[in-house]
Amino acid sequence: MENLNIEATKYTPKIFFDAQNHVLDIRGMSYPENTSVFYDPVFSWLEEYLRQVERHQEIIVNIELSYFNSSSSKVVMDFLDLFEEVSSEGKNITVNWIYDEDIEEALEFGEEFGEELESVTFNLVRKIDI
Amino acid sequence: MKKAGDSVFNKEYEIYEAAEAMLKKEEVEPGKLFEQFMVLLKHYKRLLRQIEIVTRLSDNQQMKLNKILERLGCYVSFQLFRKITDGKDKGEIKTQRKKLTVFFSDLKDFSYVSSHIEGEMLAQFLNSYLEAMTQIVIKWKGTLDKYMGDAIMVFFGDPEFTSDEDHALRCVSMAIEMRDKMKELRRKWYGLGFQEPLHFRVGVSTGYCTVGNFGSSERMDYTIIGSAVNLASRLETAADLDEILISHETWSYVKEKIICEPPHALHLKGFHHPILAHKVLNIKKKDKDSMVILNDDTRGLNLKIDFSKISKEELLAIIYNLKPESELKTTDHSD
Repeated sequence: MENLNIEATKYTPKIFFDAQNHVLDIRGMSYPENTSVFYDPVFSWLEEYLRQVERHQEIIVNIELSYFNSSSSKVVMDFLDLFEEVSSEGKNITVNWIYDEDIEEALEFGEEFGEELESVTFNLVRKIDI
Repeated sequence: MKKAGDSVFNKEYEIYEAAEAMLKKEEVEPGKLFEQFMVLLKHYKRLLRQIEIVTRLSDNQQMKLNKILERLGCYVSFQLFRKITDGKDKGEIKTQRKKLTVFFSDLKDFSYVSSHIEGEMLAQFLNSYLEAMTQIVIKWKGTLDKYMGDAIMVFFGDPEFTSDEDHALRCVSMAIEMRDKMKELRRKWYGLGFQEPLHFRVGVSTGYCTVGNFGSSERMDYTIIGSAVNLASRLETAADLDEILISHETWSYVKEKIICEPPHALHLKGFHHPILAHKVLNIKKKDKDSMVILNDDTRGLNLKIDFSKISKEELLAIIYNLKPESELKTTDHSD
């Protein structure tokens, strides 16, 4: 399966889903003009990938969203619900919620999003500037 | 209900529409109905949880935004803040011509005084002065353009326009109230250990200005430029201690309500012709003029009587004492 690579813009994050190494990265800001139009292809890719990937394959998801709008937060929760669903069916998914300490609410968002997840391993990871 | 389209709720719409379609069927197997009910229940539960989270996060964001706006509001004038938050200012480099009344004030010799006051004390002193003056600007609904050290620049007529007369009258009334406040502040500062009494001076002028956003797309100032601005600034510099000098045009708008001395022609830097400046004395009383001013320089007569502050008896006693001694004696003899 081909990787999914969407470059970041002023209002949308960089998305790089690496199907060979099973690492899915979303990084940046998310204020798309039309959230659904922007994320629909991402969902389609993800659903196809999760359908194809082997049952016990370890998958790492890194989410580092500094700022995002309400509809993007709905999308993030849909992603997490999808991961939760396939994890409960046996897939080994770890989600790293990477937050910047300087952004007051970044940790708070992570805590809210991760609260209900049971099958997915959800880590709150503080970003370290090098 | 709205149909599914380009929305982050597409999936929810699909589930809802499938359930609705099933109900419309004439015959539905109980097993299928139960299955559909379970799908609805699962997604309803998920949606409820998502809405709870989004609502909580959105409320927190709103609260934070309000706090940021409150803080930001301290850095721009109240009127400009409203203009931005109401969405009327698009943040474009755009200007327009408007007739405004412009106010400049500063503290005379403040630079000299500040050179021998400690920094902390100076900041406390300056902030107390600017705080008191700003409250008066807000009261008279002036647009506080900027502070420049001890100097204050205010204008009337934008963003809120009423009438040229109203702008000029509010501006001059504000200046008079500030001058009165200065008396109180001087007493306070003296009590705090400032030995040099500070006095302020004001220049006011009315005229067409270019108003709007100046600067770059990254950093801009909402301000005004034009000869009325220069004139107000020059009048302020020409004013003496606690004096309010207004331009002839400003005077024409306020002359029925403000008492001024007869004008003087001033030669101001940047203006090729003499400028008529009127020195503001006070606000006229509504019922009758309480002030009498007589100026006759050639005959050595400069007289100002404020009947709101002196009684008729006191005035007569003063006039009596002014009489030459010979005349007093004559009067005495006649008695």
